[in-house]
Amino acid sequence: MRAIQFDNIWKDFKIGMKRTTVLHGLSLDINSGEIFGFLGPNGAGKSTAIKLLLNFIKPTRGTITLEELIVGQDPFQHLIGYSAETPCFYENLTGRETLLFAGKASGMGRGAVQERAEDVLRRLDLLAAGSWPIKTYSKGMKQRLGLAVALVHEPRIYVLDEPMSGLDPLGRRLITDVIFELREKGKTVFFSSHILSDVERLCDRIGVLNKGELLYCGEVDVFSRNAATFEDAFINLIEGHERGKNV
Amino acid sequence: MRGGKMSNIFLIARITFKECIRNRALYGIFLLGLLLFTANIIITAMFSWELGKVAVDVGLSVVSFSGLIIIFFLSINALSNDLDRKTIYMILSRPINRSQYILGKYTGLGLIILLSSAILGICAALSFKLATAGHEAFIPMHFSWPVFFLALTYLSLSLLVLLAISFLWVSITTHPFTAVLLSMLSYFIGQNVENVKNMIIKNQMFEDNVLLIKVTDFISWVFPNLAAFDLKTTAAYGLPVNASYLFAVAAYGLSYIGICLILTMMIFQRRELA
Repeated sequence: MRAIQFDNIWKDFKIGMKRTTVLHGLSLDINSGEIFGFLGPNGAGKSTAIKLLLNFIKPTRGTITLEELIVGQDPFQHLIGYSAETPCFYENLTGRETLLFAGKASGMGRGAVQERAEDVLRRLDLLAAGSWPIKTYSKGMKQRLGLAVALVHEPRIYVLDEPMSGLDPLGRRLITDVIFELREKGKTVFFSSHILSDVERLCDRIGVLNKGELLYCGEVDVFSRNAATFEDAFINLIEGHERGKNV
Repeated sequence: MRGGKMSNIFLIARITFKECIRNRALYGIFLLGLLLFTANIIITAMFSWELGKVAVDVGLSVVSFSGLIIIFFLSINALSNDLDRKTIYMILSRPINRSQYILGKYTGLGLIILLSSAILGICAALSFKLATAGHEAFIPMHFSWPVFFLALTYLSLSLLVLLAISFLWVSITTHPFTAVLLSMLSYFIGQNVENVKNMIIKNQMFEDNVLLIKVTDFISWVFPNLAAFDLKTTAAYGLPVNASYLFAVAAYGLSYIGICLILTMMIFQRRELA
């Protein structure tokens, strides 16, 4: 079963008087229960694709579906847990209050969300900090709280935009373990990252995007088969695409 | 499982209220209000005549001034920050639609304004008591506390109207500073539009200028007539209150808030949250 489907997505932005196309007919299928890594250099269009998926912005053309629900037409948010690249919260609220809000807004009852919030805070090593105002949190703590907000209501699909960004090695290990746990539970994880070693270790399949065009979509092993390392395969693909564009 | 539109609005109102009430800037505004009330007692002492009128006038003006600061510098920022810093992503990635977000945000910030008016209104009443203590002869004969609190209620309603207008400006503009400027301009026009309209319509010099009269009339419809909510003089002199006027002004204010919020929601539905 398909969890997420991008079907011929085009996205134009108007910058001043000029129209710029940032996604060129992106088509992508993400299967249920797989960990899918979304890769690409800065400005490739990864975050734009994620914002389209969450209906923060609307595609110029094309359709995105989540388990048969059409984004922008059907209510789909109950299916997903989302963590932003730089999660921002109400800084005067505590981490626990934020999780209670997130759980209740996703339809959980008070008792269930309180219990679940404690579990999630414990899992992400934020239990002691749960009662502190978020303005006292470090960048890494905010990143982990962002993931906690995505986890609290136990959705089927997780959309994580650069979940390792700003984390120390211990924090990265923690997030990696959580993502593996999600796979064991049969959840779908769609995440973007710059950290190729994490992507190689975590993902079942990957999609590589450059300048709004999907250059590769498939198994991780197949991607790096003809290169010495995963990183080499990635760089070769991007540079080859750039050369082709410049010719 | 729970759900429902109202509970989503309530959830957003609650976190907005909590976030704002813990903001130190709010305490700064309250402190400023208290200082101005102290000043009220000193200022009033300089007036040997109309002591009661001045005390009520200054007291309610301080409530209004503090409410305006909350709108211009706290409320507009609260809404703009959600958009600029992308805090809104945390909310809209939940089963909450954009209209519920706007209504929840308005309710939360509206409650802050009502709370501020209630606290500072009590302070205004106390400062009136202190300023006129021992000078009972200078309190207007028909002064009554219900009318004083009625004036406070209508003042709060005018602040809620202005809050709704500021929401509309935030949804239209992309920069909070522009929204603050436009909200200030709306307040200024709203306070004076009735006087200007009367001046133009009653002035023989403009009798033949149909275009000017029509434009003025149009502006008086578009911008809120905030002067209509001002019952300070009525409260200060204890003048008789016209119930039908009060009803009409309340209906006008609530309709204005409704229209502004509907427009804000319509614009916000189409806005790209990039």
